[in-house]
Amino acid sequence: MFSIRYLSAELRRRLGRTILTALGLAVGVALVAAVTALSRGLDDAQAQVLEPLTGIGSDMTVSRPLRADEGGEGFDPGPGGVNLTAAERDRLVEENSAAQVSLDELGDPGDPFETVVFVTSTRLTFPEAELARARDVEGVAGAAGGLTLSALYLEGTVPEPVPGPDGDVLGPRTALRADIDFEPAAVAGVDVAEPDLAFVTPGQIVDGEWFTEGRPVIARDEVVLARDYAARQGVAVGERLAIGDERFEVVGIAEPPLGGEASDVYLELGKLQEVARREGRINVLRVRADSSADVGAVAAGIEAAFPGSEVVTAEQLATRVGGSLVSASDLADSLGTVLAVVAMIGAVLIATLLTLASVAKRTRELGTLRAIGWTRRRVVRQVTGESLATGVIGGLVGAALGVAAAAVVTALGPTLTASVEGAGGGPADAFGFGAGAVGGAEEVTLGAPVDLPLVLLAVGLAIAGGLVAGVVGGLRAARLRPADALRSLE
Amino acid sequence: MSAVVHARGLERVYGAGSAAVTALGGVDLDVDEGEMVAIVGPSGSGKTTLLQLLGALDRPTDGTLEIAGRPIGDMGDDALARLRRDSVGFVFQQFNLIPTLTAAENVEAAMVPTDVPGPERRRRALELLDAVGLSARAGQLPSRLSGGEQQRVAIARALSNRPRMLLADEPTGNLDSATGASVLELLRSFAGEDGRTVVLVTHDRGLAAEAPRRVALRDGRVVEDSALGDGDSDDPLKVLAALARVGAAAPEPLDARDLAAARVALAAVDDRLTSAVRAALGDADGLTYRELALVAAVLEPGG
Repeated sequence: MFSIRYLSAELRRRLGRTILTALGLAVGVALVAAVTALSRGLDDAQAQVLEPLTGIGSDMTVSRPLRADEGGEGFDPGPGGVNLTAAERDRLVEENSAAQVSLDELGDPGDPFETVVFVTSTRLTFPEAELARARDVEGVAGAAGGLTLSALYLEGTVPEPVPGPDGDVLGPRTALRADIDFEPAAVAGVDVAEPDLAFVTPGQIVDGEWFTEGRPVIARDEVVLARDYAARQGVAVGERLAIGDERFEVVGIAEPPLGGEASDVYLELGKLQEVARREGRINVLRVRADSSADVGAVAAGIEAAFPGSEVVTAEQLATRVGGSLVSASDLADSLGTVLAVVAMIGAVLIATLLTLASVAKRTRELGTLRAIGWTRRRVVRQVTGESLATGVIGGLVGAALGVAAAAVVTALGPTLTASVEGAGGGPADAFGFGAGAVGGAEEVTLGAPVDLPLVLLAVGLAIAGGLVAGVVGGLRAARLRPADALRSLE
Repeated sequence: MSAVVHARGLERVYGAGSAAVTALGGVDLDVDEGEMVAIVGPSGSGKTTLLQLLGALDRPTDGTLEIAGRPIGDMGDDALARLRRDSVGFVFQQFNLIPTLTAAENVEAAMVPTDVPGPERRRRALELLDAVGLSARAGQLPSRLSGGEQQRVAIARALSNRPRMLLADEPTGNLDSATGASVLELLRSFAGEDGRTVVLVTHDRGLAAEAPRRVALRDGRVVEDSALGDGDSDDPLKVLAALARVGAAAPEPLDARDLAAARVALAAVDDRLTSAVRAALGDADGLTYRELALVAAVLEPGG
């Protein structure tokens, strides 16, 4: 076909210019492709880290936190005092009275002892009946109760009573000088009927099994341990773990998600309520919304239905995740996008200027074509076609460059770190008590996935760039008067 | 005899207001089928502007212009392009071949806007190159051809759509005299063919002398048209001689314009006409060029 032959001959004649234009467009689209692929890789990596938090399971956690009033600072709880009603205060005192260990009850002086007490740390307990109320909130698909407590192991020898100045035997304060080890652990009670809403979900089990699902009676004797805790205690799946007087079989080891809520020890809820002497009490509601779009509304509904409650959504948890992964992702989103856009605009500008220069140089040639009967449209089509062809070449080269760059990133597989500050929250955490967000870091390998739509996007962008340059050049060519072909003679 | 070019009061003004430059100021010109006309004049006389108008590359700012019987004043760009494609063939001083296309492709380029299918275009291009003696060079790029060869390719291109008129702008200006002569010969041979008209623009007096008719321009006006006689003087003998030169090739009656010129000239020399000739001419209606040539021959000094 004549116009194709003419077009390719023209591109070959101005080979340097063609290569420069195509290369400019190629670099532009390669950057767009690489940045897009990298950005996707970062999104994938983030999703990989956050998936356990935001994927299946609960959308939010509801609790009744113990906290100072607004305006309170340090040890001053503020004008309103601690935000507890009198009944709640009494309840708290009652629940935590168990922590006041009377040495007299542990045995005779000199006897070894081992006991565990459960303390309500940052979250007040409430009756299980509240669960029904939570399920009634509009948009709630499901809710499960949970109980998180701080367990305090005490192990040692019953001290000798110390006579007081007046011959009285002093009370338990003397135990401070005794040979007693304290070991705190965060314990959580799990509703085995709602595995997805539990503190620890089956998906988080890295060794062994989850609780015997839906069978609380069997599950009562089972325990799941956090990996770090199991390692510290030197306990493995299949072994038995003593908590107070009770013996439990370790059925599984779990790795809680980064930024998620974690305890050291997970027991069946009823069993924990029993051993902690908090029958019928829970202190956490795990709630799932009908759809992820409703989470905000549901959270607001729950906050309204439960005054004083604290609702933490999975997305809020996800925002706690930081580290190089998040920095890189932010960088790719902002700087990378700007860079790609600037490169693309630059490439189109260069292509346009080169096309305009080419049209100016070809005044006589294009005028001659008009003189021998080519219409304006046909000349515009020819010039645009040449630029478009350059765009196609640039697009293919650019897509290849972009894919290659992405492949290099994937092959190198740089690792990025997602990290979370240790859980902030209630005052008890200062002592390491209570369940909290999982701190630490997780390494993720970065890839830069490329697929056909991305390649097509790259080629399409270059073609669009070529088209813009071609149309501008073509319009300039259209404005040439055919008489200009003869002008050089006068 | 039908006119390929019919221009009256042709004006072309560039710019506007105080910056306006009049390139052509009221040109009357008729060019008939089969004529070979040389347009001459110094630089800036308006000859290229006239050529652009005759080639439908530009529109007059005033006056009327018909090319191949069609008024171009109100034509749109596409219509002008079609008119150029179908009725006009251009030959340029610089040859204006597309440097990236072979000789055959250059000839083909002029046929691209037509409905002629590709294979037919190529066949015709080779035929035309053969006609200008370049069949062996059909596959060469212009850069591999001599100036004369390039101009032959340009002539073949100009002829490819079988136009009624060839417009040649200094066709030999970039050629040595021998090559120029052969190119001119080629143009002349085509001029005779099928009543094709050739209009040459040149400031080469020698080349112009080769054309049967010369039109001289100065400052945008026709100062001499050999068909009408010397515009500079009103010598009736010269007018008659010029009209008679046309007559050699045209045995038909004079057209209205020539007839008017002939009447004026004959009236001026009335005293020199014999009564027999005067009687034969009558009121000059129906006078043919051939008859006029005889009258002119009688009146020639020493004739």
